[in-house]
Order: sequence, then structure tokens, then C-alpha cells
Amino acid sequence: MSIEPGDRPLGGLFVLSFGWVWAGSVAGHMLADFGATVVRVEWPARPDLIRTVGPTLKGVASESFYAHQTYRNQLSCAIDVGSEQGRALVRDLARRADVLLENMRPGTAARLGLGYDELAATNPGLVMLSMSGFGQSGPYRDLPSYGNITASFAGYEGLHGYPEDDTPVPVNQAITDPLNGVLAATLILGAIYRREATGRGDYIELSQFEQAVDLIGPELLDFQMNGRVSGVQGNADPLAEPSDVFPCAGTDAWIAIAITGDAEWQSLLDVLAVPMDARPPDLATGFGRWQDRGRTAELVALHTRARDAGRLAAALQEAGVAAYAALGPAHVFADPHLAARSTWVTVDHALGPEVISGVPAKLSRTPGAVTRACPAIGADTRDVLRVHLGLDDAAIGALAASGVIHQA
Amino acid sequence: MTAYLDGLLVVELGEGVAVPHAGKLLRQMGARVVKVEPPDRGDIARRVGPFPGDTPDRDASGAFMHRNAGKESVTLDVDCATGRWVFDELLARADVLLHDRPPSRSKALRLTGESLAERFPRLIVTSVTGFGQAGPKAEWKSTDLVATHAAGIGHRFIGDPGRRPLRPAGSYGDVLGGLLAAQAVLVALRARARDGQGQVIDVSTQEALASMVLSYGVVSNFHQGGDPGTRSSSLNRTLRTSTPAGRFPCKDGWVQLSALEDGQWRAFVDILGNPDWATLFDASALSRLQYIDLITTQVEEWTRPRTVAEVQSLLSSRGVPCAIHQSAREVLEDPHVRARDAFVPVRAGAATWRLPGPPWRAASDGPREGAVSPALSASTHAVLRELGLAESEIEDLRRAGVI
Repeated sequence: MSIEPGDRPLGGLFVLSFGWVWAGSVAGHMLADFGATVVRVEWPARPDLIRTVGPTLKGVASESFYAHQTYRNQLSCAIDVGSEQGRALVRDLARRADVLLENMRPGTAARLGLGYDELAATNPGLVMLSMSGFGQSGPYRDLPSYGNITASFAGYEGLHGYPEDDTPVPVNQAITDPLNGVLAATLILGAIYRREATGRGDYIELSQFEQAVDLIGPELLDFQMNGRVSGVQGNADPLAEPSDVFPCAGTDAWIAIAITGDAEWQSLLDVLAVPMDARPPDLATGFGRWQDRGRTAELVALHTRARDAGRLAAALQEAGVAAYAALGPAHVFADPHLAARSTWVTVDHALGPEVISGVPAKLSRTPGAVTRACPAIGADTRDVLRVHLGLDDAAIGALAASGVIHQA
Repeated sequence: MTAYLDGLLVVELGEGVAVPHAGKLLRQMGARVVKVEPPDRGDIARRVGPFPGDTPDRDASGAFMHRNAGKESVTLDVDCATGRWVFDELLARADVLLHDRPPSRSKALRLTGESLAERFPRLIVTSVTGFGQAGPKAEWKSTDLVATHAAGIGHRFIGDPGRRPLRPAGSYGDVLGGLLAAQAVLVALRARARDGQGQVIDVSTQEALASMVLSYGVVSNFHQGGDPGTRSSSLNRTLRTSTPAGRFPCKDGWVQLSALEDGQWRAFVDILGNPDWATLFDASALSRLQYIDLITTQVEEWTRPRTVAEVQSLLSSRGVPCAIHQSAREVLEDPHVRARDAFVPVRAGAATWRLPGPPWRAASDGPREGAVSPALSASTHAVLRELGLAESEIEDLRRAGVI
């Protein structure tokens, strides 16, 4: 078989998704970006959290920018799983699906008749992935959670802060969620890959807490090896000194600099035009700089303070020093390097064109693409029921009339 | 061990965190991973602690064993002609190459598209670098710190206003880049199953972070004229989606709580004793957001005289997400971790340590197994013999410092 231009690498894969909030919707779009048909089952009276929060596109309450980012490329099929008829429809879809993705509270899928054993009895090739805060077993199984919650329990959240204060600062976003979403998509594809050989699907349960615990591996070992409980990490890097962010000219303008060798330290001082007699000999070695980190940082900051962050970064890179302007979102969204990589794309939403993220991993032969904006709840109900369940217009009309489905 | 990638050979030419993290995930999914390290020093992570007793030992580095347990270590100087010949022999048998070379060095190794398709048509070549293989800054030097701040993550999400931005802990950017690379490899494997052809995959950690983390709820808003926001000492104020959310002070520490959904908020108000101020607005997230200062103050007043344990159990039992902050020590003793057998034994030399096992369980899994962290060059001889090299040839390579 050959692959023609425009063929999608995951074309033909039918994914039924109850993937909520950030992690669940990322898992879905990671598959949909490469051509899988990802059908989200939703219901207008019970919208996903990220459809309900602000800010929203053009102030329209149902059009949250959060959902607009991660629901792209996915379809929305509105079925009321609160009704027996609705649950039967969803089970019919699951019997025909390659993948069932869900991150509802543990036990909910089984209550809806979407338990893996039950579904696999008639659909042995099904790959089902359940993701939850703490996994499907254990004493914390039923604790309500979001990313910041599992990250706090996991010892990750508390590693953030200024070393000079040694007090943790909060992370202003549930940043472990996208890690969970990408891992979920990878595991699903792993199980599908294996299915080609065995014909059998699998059931996978993923614990977001355990994935956050994996982020503190070195800290777990330091306690076992040396009885040490790590403090906050700041910007430090064991392989670079300095490794930090220094002030530049302008409001809230900074530069990130990582010095991984002594020659680079001299290059940094050259670019910063630090006079020879103002270069402390004891800071010439990595060990010396590490021993006197405070003085090292002060010296660098003194000479970056009046410089333009972008121009200084370019000059440092020219001299072989790892550096980049550390500026706010507006600058990142305008970064010509990211623009050249098509990091951002414009999609057509019913309310007008909208800029969202493109597909970050660049595949040379079968690239991903953003082909569709966030759907309204139930935008694809009719198509999904027709194509995947073979229902005709009369049957679909009857379901809509009895309030079991909704077509936007 | 999950056996999804049984029989697959992954060659890993990468150091530090990003590429080794991708290799770790593929290994946990059943692939065989041959790690190619520079002969003199090995993966730079071998220099990074923690070390037992704080004594540097390249075969006992905690940073190294966390990402590389279960892999096979081969030393090989791929930058010399003989070494590259051996490397090509390895690639001829491999399904996937993971590497972290910027474009100029990829070219030197002849790992770019045209050259590869000719020599190794089935090979999937995946790189993870700070700025990717394409674009005006593709050659720029990077570390996790530099790529993370280049993506605005610290500036937007971590640190006090007016003070310098901080990066996410745990080499977060490299981990995200590594995961993204592994996912892309799986996509490419599915394409290869159809027509037998490999391809080249380019992952930039700066782009991964900007695209998947910074942008969320922010990029579209920004282009519609909205304020993209900045870091704050309060999650509550900067998340700007719903409230209350963030860190709240207790008598003996902090809790992390998030009553983001309307039902969670109603349960919370009930726990608070349905005070009058909570009737000023309706329970929807958008309406509550108008009263963020009032809500934050009132919730703080309620948490402050209580203990962490009291607040956490009271809220959790009513379905309001709430966490205590644990340290590594507490995580190691955590009852949930124990009940789920979350740690597996990892052997390095004569010592055995407890490290997080895969954060998933598959129904098809065999028993949860430990792994051995490879000593530098432990598998060089065996792998070269597999490639068909004679004992005398291996000895010549060793003497020449190629292996």
C-alpha cells in the first residue's frame, strides 16, 4: 500500500472520547491532529468545564478560548447519557470504535455501561484508556482532582520558588495536564500498533499523580541516597552556572542565560563588555561560580540591566552562549522563529477566523494539520450517527424529538 | 512491562533529559533501546547527582538512572569516520533513531531527509532540540532553562510580579519535548505499517512549550485583543478562568484547592455554612470571577485557622478538589503509592533504589518489573558482536578510542 499526499497517518481510526478538561482534550487532539476521527460525546446541559470558563471569543459565553485551543480537529456528538436510550447509543458507538478514551471519575464509565470487559466481549479489538487523578485503584482513587492537585500530592508543585527565599511559589497553570494528554495518546497508539499483530485491544489506566511523581525522580533518589529533602529549584541547572534569568532594559524584560563551560563564561563577559580588571578570578571556574552563586548573578545582572533582551540574546548566541530573551506571551506569539515553524495557524470558526496553535511535532512525510476549529456542542451529531451507526434521517429525527440527542 | 513495542529496536543518540525521556517511554512500552554514548565521558547526565553519599560516580548518578534504566549502553564516537561506519551498521538494523543534534550536526551525521531515505528507507529519525531543525534560530544553543523561557512559560506562569520569571521544575520542557517525540514516533510507525517507509520528525522544546502550554486559553484571546496575563503570586488571580483556585494558607501550612466547577463551588459554600456574601452572585464560573477578591479573602479567612489535614479531608469528602503539599520523603511513604506498587526497584551496581515505574497499568501487562541502570559501555561488546564485528575488529576500535 502507498501513502498519497494528503493521506493522514491515523486516517480510519475511530476514537470515541469522554476526554474532559485539559488533559483529556489534549489526548483527543493529539490523535485528531494526525487524522483520527475523534468523536467527543457531550451534552448541552452538562458542558465540560473548559467550555464554561472565561475568557471567551467575542464575549460569547459558550465560546471559551480554552476549549477553542484543545477541541480543534475533534467532532462533537451530543447524546444525553442520562437517558437509557442515550446510553444505548453510546454503547453502540463504543462497539464500533477502535479507541475509547475517558477521564471521568473512576467508576463512571462502568456505570454508563462502558466498562472495558463488557465492551470487549463484542469488540475485542477495542483499546480503552481511562485517565484519572490517582488511577483506578488505591486509597486516593476517588479524590476529586485537577492537575495542580495531583502535582501537590506528588511533591512536584512545592519545588517551584526562589532559592533565595526557599518558599514555594504557586504555578499559575495545571502544567502537568499536557504531559498526561500526550502520554495517553502515545499509549493508545502503542496498543493500536500491537493490535495489528495480535488482533486484540487492551485496557490501560493512567494515573496523573504517578506521572507527576515521575517528574521528581532525582528528588526521590536524593532522599533515599542522602536523606536530603530538596528545596525549591528556581532556575538552577546542575550542568550550568550561572543558569538564570537576568534583568534587561524595559518593563518586565529579562534574558535567560545558561553557561555550560568556562570558555562560555569568558564569552559572556566579553559580550557584556565587562572590563578585564572587573572579572573576579575566583569566578573563572564553574566550581567557583557555583560556590558564590549570589555574587555571580549580581555581576551578570549589573551588565545586562541596560541591554535590550533580544539583541543581547542574538549577540550571545553569536558568541556561542545559550541565551534567549525571556519576555511575555505577546513577544512569544510574535517570535519570527516560531512563525517560520508554523507554530500558530488560523482556523475558520463560525464567529470568524481565529489564531490557535498548530501541530508542534513536525513529521516530514505524514504531517499533522489543523483542519477544523472547535465544534459547537452537537455540531456533528447527525453525521456521526449516520456514518458510524448507519441511522437514517427518520431515526435521527425521532431521537432528536425525544430529547436523546441534540444537533447544533 | 507493557509489550506494545516488542521487537522494535530504538537507537538513542542523546544526552541529558529530552531524548533519554523519549527513549525511556519507548522502553517502558516494550522496545529495546540501545543508548549510544561518547566513549570518554558518557551521557552528560552521568555527571549529575544525586549520588550515593554525594560521591560522584558515573554509574550511580540518580539523574542518569531515572531516565536510562533498562537501556543498553554502547560507547561509540560517531563523529569519526570509523565510528560512523559502525553507527550506520546499527542504524541499518534499527526502527527508530532518537537524537538531539542541531541541523548542522545532523547533516554531518547524514541524518537529513534525502540521505536517510536512500540509505535507511524504513528508519524513523526523530530529533528533540531546543529550537528544532528548521527556522532562523535552529542552530541556537539551548538548555531546558533557555527553551522554557524562550517559550514565555516562566514569564506567564511562575514567579512573583516584578521579580524574575522561574522555570517549571523537573526539566519540564525537556520532558514535554521527549513525550511529544515518542508520540510522533508512534504516528510514524503506523504510517510505516502501511507502506514500509520511515520519515524524519523534528521536535523543538521551545515550540512544544509555546504551542501546548503557553497558548492554552491565551493565544486566541491575545489575537482578539485580550490581555494574555502575567505571572502572579496567586493562581487564583492569574488563571482567570474560575475561582477559587490556588494555594490557601492554613494554621500549619498550605493547601492547594480548586473549586472550579459550579457544583464544586456550591458544595464549598455549603461547607462554609452558606454565608450571606456568597449570595451576592450566582454560582457560575463567569459570575464568580467578578467577585474574585471577595471570594479569595473569604476563603482565606476560612482556611487560615484550620489545619491542612482538616481542610483537605473536609473539602475532598464533598467533592471539592483539595491537596496537601507533600515532599519527596512523604511521597516515598505515601499509602496510595504503596497500595498501587507505584515504585519499582532499579539496580545500579550493587545498590538498589526505588524509582517510579510506568504511571500506567495495562490489562495485558506482565508482572511489574524493576530494571538495571546500565554502567557506561556495559553492552558495547555484545552489540558490536551482534552487528557481526569480529573480536579483533572490536579490539582495534577499542584501541583507537572509537568505542
